[in-house]
Amino acid sequence: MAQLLRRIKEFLGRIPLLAYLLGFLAATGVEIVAGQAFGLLIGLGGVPAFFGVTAALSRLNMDGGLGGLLLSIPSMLLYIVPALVYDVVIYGLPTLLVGRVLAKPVRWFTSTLPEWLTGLVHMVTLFLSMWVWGGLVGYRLLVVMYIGVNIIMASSLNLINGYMGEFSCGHAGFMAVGAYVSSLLTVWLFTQDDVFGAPVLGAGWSIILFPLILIVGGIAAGIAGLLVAFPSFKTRGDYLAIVTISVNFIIKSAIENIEKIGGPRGFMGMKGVLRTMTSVINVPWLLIWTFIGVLITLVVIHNFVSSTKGKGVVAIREDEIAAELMSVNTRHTKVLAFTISSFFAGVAGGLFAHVLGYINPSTFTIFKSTEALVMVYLGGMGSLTGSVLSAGIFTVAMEALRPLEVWKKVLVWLMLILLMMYRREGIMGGKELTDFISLERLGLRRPAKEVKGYAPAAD
Amino acid sequence: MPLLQINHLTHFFGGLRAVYDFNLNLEKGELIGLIGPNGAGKTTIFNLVTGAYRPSQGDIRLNGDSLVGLRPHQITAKGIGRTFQTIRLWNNLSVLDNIRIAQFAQIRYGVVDSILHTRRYRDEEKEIKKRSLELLEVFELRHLADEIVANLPYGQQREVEIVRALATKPRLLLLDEPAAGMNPGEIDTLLKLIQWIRKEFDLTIWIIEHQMRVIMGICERIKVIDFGETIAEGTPAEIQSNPRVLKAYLGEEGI
Repeated sequence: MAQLLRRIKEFLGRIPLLAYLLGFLAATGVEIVAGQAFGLLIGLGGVPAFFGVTAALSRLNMDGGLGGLLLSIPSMLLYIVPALVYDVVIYGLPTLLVGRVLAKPVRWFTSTLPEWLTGLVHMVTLFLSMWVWGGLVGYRLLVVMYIGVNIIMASSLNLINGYMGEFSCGHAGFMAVGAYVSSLLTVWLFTQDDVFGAPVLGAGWSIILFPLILIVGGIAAGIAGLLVAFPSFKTRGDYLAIVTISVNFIIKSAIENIEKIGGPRGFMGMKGVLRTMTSVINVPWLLIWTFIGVLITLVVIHNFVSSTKGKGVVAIREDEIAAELMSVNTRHTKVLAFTISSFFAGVAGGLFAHVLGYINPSTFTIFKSTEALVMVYLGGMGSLTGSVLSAGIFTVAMEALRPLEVWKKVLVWLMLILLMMYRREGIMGGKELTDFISLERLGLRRPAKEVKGYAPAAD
Repeated sequence: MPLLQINHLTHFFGGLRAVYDFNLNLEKGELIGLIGPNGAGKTTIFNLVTGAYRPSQGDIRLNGDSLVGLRPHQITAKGIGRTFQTIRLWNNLSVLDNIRIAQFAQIRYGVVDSILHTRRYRDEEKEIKKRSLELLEVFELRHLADEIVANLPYGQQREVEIVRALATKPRLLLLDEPAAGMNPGEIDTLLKLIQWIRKEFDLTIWIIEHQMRVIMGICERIKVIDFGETIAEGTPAEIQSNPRVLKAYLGEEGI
């Protein structure tokens, strides 16, 4: 048994990441061609939206008391079996098969490219597979974009809670600033709206200006971040946590009281912005910008915290007084950390608003902040890959468990309690994924030739 | 002009007078000691000099520039490095990172450089890393560069803390009870190390100690304080025979 496992591990380990991605892309192709027919054939009634998880859970009878629930379990199991078959036949086999066949060519191909281009090829392949997979069922695309937004939220909050060791629980406040600022701008500029009237600029501008407006929303949120940064000079720990909660409420109440932008009723019209954009060039703009937003967030935060300047953030977590006495400008560092963190929360907010098409102040309460916190702690403090993983897992769990209705929340928070009891350090335990699987093995970096002089940087 | 000049330094914690009318002229290249019983205000003086506290009264000058009102990182950047009575390393970071971060004041690149990995960023980071490893090499700690600090034995943590203080490029090094928790053998090594550092890095050194043996061996001049007030000053021999010191610090029976 152990030997079999080792051989499976070896088999999987030989396939580089790009080959897996291409394999999955091929699998989505298989799904497009044969998914519907195969799903009907094995009794799933078509293409399952979410690997069959949601559909299986929706077989549970949540309204019939305990008896009804128990009686409905067999029907769920009856659904799970064909769903598993579907997942293996449509996703599993093609991915592994194509991955195995392409393993060698891919290794050769990436060895001829410079590293940055290898990275780009990976990104493009990942993007294509998400697009194709998501394109088949609209709901999937939505979930993929939620995952992206949550990755940005979790990794930017990780800068504060994980790397700097402060406890910020008002992240949704900054998200709200970004969401409102960017939505107001796009709706005003590009759509016919009750409040703002006719579009100010031609439709073509929307393509160019959309990312810039997301950045403007981020900058506004970054400025709001100063509301926490300045108090952080004087107070820290639990007390600063209270400050962040207050800031969250201040922002929410401020928006609630501006009648012009809908007050507590919220603000809409972002779907129109999207229609304007797709009327010019018909591609999934939001998916594209979410994808790029995630990439930029991860690169910026990673590069920042691995520079000596950014490591000042970690020194503050470890011992703030020693940091200041050992030449780290702690105030400057805190302002930087809070600004960067809330900037990205603002960008996430802008994306979120356009994905949803509608925002209202009560979306951005402390509950939303808590979700971001959960993702940070689930993934592990101070681990970016952890935040990526946990944002994925958390978002998918929240969506997949939807059929459980109220019990979804109980289950999710129960998982959090168990996590805190048995694995406080989160999935990654403060490490990065690359500490377990090397970039060389994944095929993202060429094997080092010969190390001369100093050892490679441990970043 | 003396390197460090302290005039009428006085500090209160609420109603408690922690330091009273402390004066010191420290010439470049000197190695002096500050002793006193527990709670005499020794560490408070270091905290005042390094800017951790703002003095109630008095003046502190480094090379003639007043340090009062500057923030600690600015004072460190002006050339005062220190270690702590209880080790205050950044425990969950590697030895190398501890040394790197202490060179924060020497960073000239901006945050955008660090994000875009510009040439300027790469050059500076390379320089910082090279210097850190050289420093570790000098102290024969190079092989521990990637080790997490918390995993090191106590003696080595003390050494790393001294290396970290040196990484801030000090002209004046303040050592706060460097021999605390060490056995006699380790203390001998430490004393040799201190004298060697002083020569090698062309430093002025000011040590706080309460173990007499340590301070008598290497300091040229010693100040003694008790309840925040200076009660004696002179060569080790003078201090050892000063009746006030014997009474206040060494006890009635003497050494």
